[in-house]
Amino acid sequence: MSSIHSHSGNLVRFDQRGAVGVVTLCRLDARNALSVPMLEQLARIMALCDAARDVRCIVLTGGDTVFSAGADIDVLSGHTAATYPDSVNRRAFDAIRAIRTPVVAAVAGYCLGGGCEIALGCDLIVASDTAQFSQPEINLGFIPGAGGTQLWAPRAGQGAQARAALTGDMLDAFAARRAGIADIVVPTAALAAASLELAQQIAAKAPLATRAAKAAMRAPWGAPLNAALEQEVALMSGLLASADAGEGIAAFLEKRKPRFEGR
Amino acid sequence: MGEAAPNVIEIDGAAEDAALTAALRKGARAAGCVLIAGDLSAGLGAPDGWIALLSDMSALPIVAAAGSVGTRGLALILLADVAVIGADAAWVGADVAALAELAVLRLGALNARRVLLAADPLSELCAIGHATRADAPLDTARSRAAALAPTGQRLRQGWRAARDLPAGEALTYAGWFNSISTKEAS
Repeated sequence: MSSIHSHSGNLVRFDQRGAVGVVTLCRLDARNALSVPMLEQLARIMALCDAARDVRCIVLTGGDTVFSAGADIDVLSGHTAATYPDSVNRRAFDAIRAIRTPVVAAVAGYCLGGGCEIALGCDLIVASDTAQFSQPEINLGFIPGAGGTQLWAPRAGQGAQARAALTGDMLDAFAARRAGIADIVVPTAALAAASLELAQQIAAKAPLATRAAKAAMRAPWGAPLNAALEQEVALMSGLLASADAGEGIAAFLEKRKPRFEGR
Repeated sequence: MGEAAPNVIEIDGAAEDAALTAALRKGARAAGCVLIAGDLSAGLGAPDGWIALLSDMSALPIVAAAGSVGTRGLALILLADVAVIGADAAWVGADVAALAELAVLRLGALNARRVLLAADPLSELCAIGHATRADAPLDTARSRAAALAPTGQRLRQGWRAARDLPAGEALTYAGWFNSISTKEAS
């Protein structure tokens, strides 16, 4: 049995099902909003899974009610162009996306913002019929900063990418499946079983080959995507320090419409 | 078994589309069935929000239509999975062309033509089996809602899967449901 259990924290839990590691976000009282400690725990456990010889596929889930409502608003506020690129949360997102072991995201309910970016960084997405995907950052006066301007396009095309990043519109599970964002739609009660079944199918293959297949599939993410992601971070960093971002966050917290002034 | 009281949304004929969308969104959170009744005489307006909502929601919509029925009412009846039309219901609508797409999606091309080209679309909806007539449509609709409450959501999910997923995936989706039901029963 893996020693990863001992690294389970109060925000992220690890369970092993045969050769599959099941990583569960456990902050349901905040709809699994991604706080800095949670991102750190998640990145650490995912890295341990990646290093463990007996974990051949990972299921990443938030349970059967919500995947993640996105980054905690205080994770994003207060950053400057200088601080965001080296922030803990930015590095955690990068680390999660860099996992070499195949990852199946099991998504129910809200999968928004940073949560959506994490799901899109996985290899396969199993969506419960309650799943809702969106990049709502534009409504707060900034942009997705962990892949949300890049990761929709390979799955769903440039139009879907533009719509996600520029409108923040929500896609439900069935619409997401039609667009190519989700790979499988299942009833909510079957989400855990269906995602585990898919992960076990992958885990039963030759582990060197599955990792090689993932590395090959990720090759196009190499230089061009990494450069694009760096650009995204640079733009996001500047925006986080803008007055509009401050206004967007304040309006969100005060439950009112923001007044953006372009500064 | 006692009949559960359905969630009833009483339409205000003067309600703007945004208000109608808000009312339906609130009602759509209910599991099982949502019963829609009230004044259905208004024109269509700008119904994008509530048409998409009713089309995709997980609760099963039931419409009880009485009195004057306008284009908004006809749209609601088309979107309903159970439509009960009162004996006194009278078509007062215009601009059925605005319902061309919705009618085809809900009734198929042939029946959409039959209904939208008829002088009395309400009678034609009954003739093709989409709606039924009743002397007391609200009572009949309540009774149907109570009877369908236990299965309404499952039916809606299945219909959505059949509509939106590739055929094989829709059948797999059904298979997962059946597997859950079997486990729960054992």
